Amino acid sequence: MQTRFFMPETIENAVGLLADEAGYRCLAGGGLMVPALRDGYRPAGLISLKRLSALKGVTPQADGVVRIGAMTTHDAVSSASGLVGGNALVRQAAGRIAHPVIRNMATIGGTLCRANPSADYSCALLAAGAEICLRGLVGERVVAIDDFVTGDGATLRREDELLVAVTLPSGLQGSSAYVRFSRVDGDYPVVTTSARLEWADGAVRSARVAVGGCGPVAYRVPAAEAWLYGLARGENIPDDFFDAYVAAADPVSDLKGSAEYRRMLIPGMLRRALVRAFADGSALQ
Amino acid sequence: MKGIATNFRVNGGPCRIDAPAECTLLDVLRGTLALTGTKRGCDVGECGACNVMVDGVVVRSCLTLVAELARCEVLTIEGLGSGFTPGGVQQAFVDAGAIQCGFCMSGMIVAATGLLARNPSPTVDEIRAGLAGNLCRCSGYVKVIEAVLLAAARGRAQTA
Repeated sequence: MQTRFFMPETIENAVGLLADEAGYRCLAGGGLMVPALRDGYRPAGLISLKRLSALKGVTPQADGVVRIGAMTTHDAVSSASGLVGGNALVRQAAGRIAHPVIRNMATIGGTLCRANPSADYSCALLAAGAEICLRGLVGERVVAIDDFVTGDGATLRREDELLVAVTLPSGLQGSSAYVRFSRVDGDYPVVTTSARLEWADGAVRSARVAVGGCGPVAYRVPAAEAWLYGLARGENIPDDFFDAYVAAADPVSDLKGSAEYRRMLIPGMLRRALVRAFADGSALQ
Repeated sequence: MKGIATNFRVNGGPCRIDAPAECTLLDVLRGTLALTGTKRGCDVGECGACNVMVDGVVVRSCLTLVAELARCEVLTIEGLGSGFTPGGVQQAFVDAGAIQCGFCMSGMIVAATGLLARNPSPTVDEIRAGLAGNLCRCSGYVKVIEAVLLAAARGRAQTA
C-alpha cells in the first residue's frame, strides 16, 4: 500500500489527521524519518508539519517563560536571543547538534519524539526543566520532561497527539551551562552534562543537574542537587555530589566507549558544567 | 505509478513531479531531472555531497521529501553557474585549486554559498564550523578553506 501524504495548514487539521487513522506518522525535519523510508519503512500516512507556522519560533513571554514551537530548527534555537540565564544551556546545546546543514532542517519536536538518550537536547532540556505541550483532539496537556521521556525512544506521547511546543521556566534569575563530549565533533555525544542554577542573595537557591548518554534516559539525582543549595561561587562542591551521579549511571558499552569509560567521564564533565554555571551566576544577586 | 503531484521551481524553472511520498529531492534531481551535479554520497544526511538550497536555506536533498516542496524554490549547483560561466564561489574553488576528485565539491560549494550569504567575511574558524558536515574523502580541506576566503575577498571587492 502506498503511503498517503498530507501537509496540513493548521494544528487542528494535523491533530485531526493523527486521530483519523492509526499508523499516520508526523514528518518534522526529516533527518530520522527519511532514512527510515529509504530503508523500506512505509507508514500508512505521513503528515508533514512544515506548513504549520504556529509551531515555529522561540517566544519569550512577559513572565520570563520561553515557548519553543515544536518545528523550530536547531539553527533557530541556537541563535535565539531570548534564551538567557537559566535557559542559555538550551541555546548552547542546539548550536552543538550535528552540523550546520542538519541544524537548518532538524527540529526540537522531532528530536524529542525520538528520545535518544545521547541526544544533546535530552540532557539539556532535562536540566532546563522543560515542559512538553501535547495537543490531542480533546485539548492540550502539559507533561514535565522528567516524565515525558520513559526510555530509549519511548515517550508519553500517544500516537494521536501532536507535540506542539516545549516551554522553559523563566531563566531570568538563573545561570546554566551545557557540556558535551564526542570523539568526532558533530557526532552524537558519548556523554553530556548540563547544569541550571537559580540564584538568590548570591547563593544557589535551586539546581537541576543532568547527565546524558549514560543510560536509557538522561537523568538527574535530586538528592545530590540539594547539596548545591546555599553554595556561593567558589565554594567547594562535595565529592559525594559527583559520586552520586556516577552511582546513578547505567551506561552501555559500545563503539564510542565502554561503560567504564563513560562513568569516568561523568565527574569531570559535571564539574565543567558547574564551574561555568557558577561563573555565569556570579553576576546575579 | 500513481504518485503525489508537486509543483515547485528548480534553478528558476517550473517543475511538476508525480512521485510516491517517500521519493526524495535527490532522487528527482539525479533521476527525473538529470541534474547530476548533486551527488549521492551516504544517502542518510551525514556527508553533505547532496546539499542544495530550498528557499535560500542549505539542506540535504537526501533528507528532503519532494512532496514537501510545493511552491518552493530549489537551487542546485547547476543553478550557481556552468562550466562556461561559473559563479563566483565556483570560480574561487577552481582558482584556489580546491578540487581533487570533485565528488564532494557540489555540496561544499552550495554550503559555502549559504555560509557567505549569512556571513560575507568569515574567519577561518567560522569557515571550518560553517562547512562542518561536508566530508571530503580526498581530505583536501585546507584548499577548500582558502577557496572560501578567496570567494569572500572577491565578494567584498565587488560590493566595495
